[in-house]
Amino acid sequence: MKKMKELGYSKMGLIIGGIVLFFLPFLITNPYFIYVVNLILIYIILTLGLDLLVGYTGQVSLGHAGLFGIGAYSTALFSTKLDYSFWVTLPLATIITTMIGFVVGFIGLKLVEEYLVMATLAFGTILWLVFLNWSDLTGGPMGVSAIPAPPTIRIGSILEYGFNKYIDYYPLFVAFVLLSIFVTRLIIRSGFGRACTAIRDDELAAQAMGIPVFKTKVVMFTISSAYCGVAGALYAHFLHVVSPETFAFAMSVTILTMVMIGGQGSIIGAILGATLLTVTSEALRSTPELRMMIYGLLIILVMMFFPRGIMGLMHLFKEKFIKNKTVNTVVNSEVKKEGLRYE
Amino acid sequence: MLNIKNLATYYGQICALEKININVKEGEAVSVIGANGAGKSTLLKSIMGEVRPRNGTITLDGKPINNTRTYKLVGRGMTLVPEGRQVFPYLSVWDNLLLGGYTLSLKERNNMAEESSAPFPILRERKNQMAGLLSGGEQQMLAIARAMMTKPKILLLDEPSMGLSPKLVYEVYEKIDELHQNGTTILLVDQNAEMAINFCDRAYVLMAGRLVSEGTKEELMNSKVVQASYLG
Repeated sequence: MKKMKELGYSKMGLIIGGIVLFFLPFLITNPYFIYVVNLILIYIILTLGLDLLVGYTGQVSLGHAGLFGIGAYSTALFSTKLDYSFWVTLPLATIITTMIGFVVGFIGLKLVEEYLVMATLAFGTILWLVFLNWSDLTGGPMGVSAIPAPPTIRIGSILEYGFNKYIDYYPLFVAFVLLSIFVTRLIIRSGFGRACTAIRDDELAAQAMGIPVFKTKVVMFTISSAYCGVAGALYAHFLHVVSPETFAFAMSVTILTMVMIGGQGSIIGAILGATLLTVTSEALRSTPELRMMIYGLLIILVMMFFPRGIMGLMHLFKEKFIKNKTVNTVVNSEVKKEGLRYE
Repeated sequence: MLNIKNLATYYGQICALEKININVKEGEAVSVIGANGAGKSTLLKSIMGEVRPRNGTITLDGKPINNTRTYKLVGRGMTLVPEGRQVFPYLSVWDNLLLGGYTLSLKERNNMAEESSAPFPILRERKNQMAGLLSGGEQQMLAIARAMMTKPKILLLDEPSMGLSPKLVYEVYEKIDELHQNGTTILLVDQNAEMAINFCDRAYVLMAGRLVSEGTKEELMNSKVVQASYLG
C-alpha cells in the first residue's frame, strides 16, 4: 500500500491497465468479446482526442463524429479505389482529417461556448449529409464496403503476421492506444498543454500572460482531429465497411458522453468512459431506441451528481477514506497528476 | 509611457467610458478609484485590448496599441493582473508562474520564476501546491508574481484588494509598493480608495464612466469630493 502511494494512483492505474491489456487476449477467447475490446480501443483513441479539447482546453465540440467519419472514409476510399496499403492510407487519412480539423477549428473557434457547440454540430451534420448523399464518392447510404485488412507483416522468414481474425487486430490497436496515451501525456505536460489548461480556466488571464488564445485553441482542435483520423482509419480497416449512420450526431454525443462520464481532463477517465459506454452500447444493441435515451439520462445524472465523472468520484472517495495523508501530501500528489481537474 | 486620450468605450448602446484622458509616466504609480460600475475594469480591458474602444487613442511608449491583441501587449512590456486574481486553480503555484513567462524561452522561464517569486517567500514554500488551494491573499501575490515573470515596463492591476481582509490588503499593497520602488510603473484601479490613494503618486477619480477629478496623493486626500464620496 505504501509503495502504491509512492507511485501515485495515476501511474498505478496505468500499470494495472497495461497488465490487463497484456493478458486480455489469453483470458478472452470468444471472438465477439475480442471484437468489443477492439472497439473499446478505437473509442479510447477518439475519447483521448476529444478530451484534449474538452477536458484540457475547455472547448466543447459536437462535430467529432464528422472528423471520425473523414478518417474512416478517407482510408476506405484510398484502399478500395486506389488500392493503397493500410500503412499508406492510415497516415493519409490522418493528414486529411487533421487538415479539415484545422479549417473547422479556425472557423468555429472564432465563436465561443454554446455558439462553438452549435457550429461544430452544424459541421458534423453537414459532413454526415455529405457521406449520405454524395453517392458517387461515398456510396451513399450503402457506404463503402470490402475495405481490405492491413497487409500481412513479414520480417524475413522470422515473422509473418496477418490480420485475419479479430484477435489479430488487438496488438495493433493496443499499440495505437499506447501511442495515443504517450502523445497525450506529452502534450498535457508541455508548456503548450499548460497554456490550454490556462485557457480552460480563464481566457482573459491566459491572454494577459501572453498566451495567443485563439491560435492555441486552433492548434489543440487540429491535434484533437488527428486522433479522429487515426481512430477512423483503424475503424474502417477493422470492420471492412463504413456507412453514414456510424458518423451521425449520435456518435458525437457518444464520444462526448465518454469524456464526461470518465472525467474530463483525465487520461484514465477517458479510458474508463470509453470502456463503460462501449460495453453499455453493446449491451443495448437489441434496443437501439433506448440507447440515446440512456446516454442522455447518464449525462444529466453525471452533471447533477458527479460533474467530474468517475475520476472525480474516485478522487472524492480517496479524500474521504484515505485519511492518513496530510493535506499537503494530497495536494502534492494531485499536482503531479495529469489534468488536475479534480476538486 | 502610457497615454490615453479621449477614450470612449461602449457595450452596445451603453456608454461605459467617455472622454477619458490618463497619462502614466515611466516609474510612476497611478491609481484610478471609483465605485462599483464606474468603469474601472472596462478601462483596463480597453487598455489591454480585451474590449475595443469606440473612440480615442491609447499609446504605449508613443506607439498606438488600440488594435493590438491582448497577448501581444505582453511582448510590448505591459501585463495585467486581472480582477479576482484569476490564478489557474488546478495548476501548481510553480506552473502558474511558468505560464506567466509563456513568451520567454524555457530556460528564461525557470530563471524568472525564481526571480519573480523571490519577494514572495510563501509562494516558494508552496510551489507544488495547487494554486486554487492558496488563501485569497496568497493568490493575489501569486497573480502579481506571475505578472512580473516578463519583467513588464508597466503593470496593470485590477482591484488588487478585492475580497481580502484589511490585513491582507495591507500586505498586498506593501508588495506592490516594493515592485514600484524597484522601478516598475504601476497603474491600478481599486474600490479601496484609501489604500489606492495612499499608495500612488497620482490618482484619477472615475464616476459613471467619466473622470471627475485627478491630482496628487495629497490633493486627493484633501479633496472634499473624494473625502465625501470615498473616504467617509
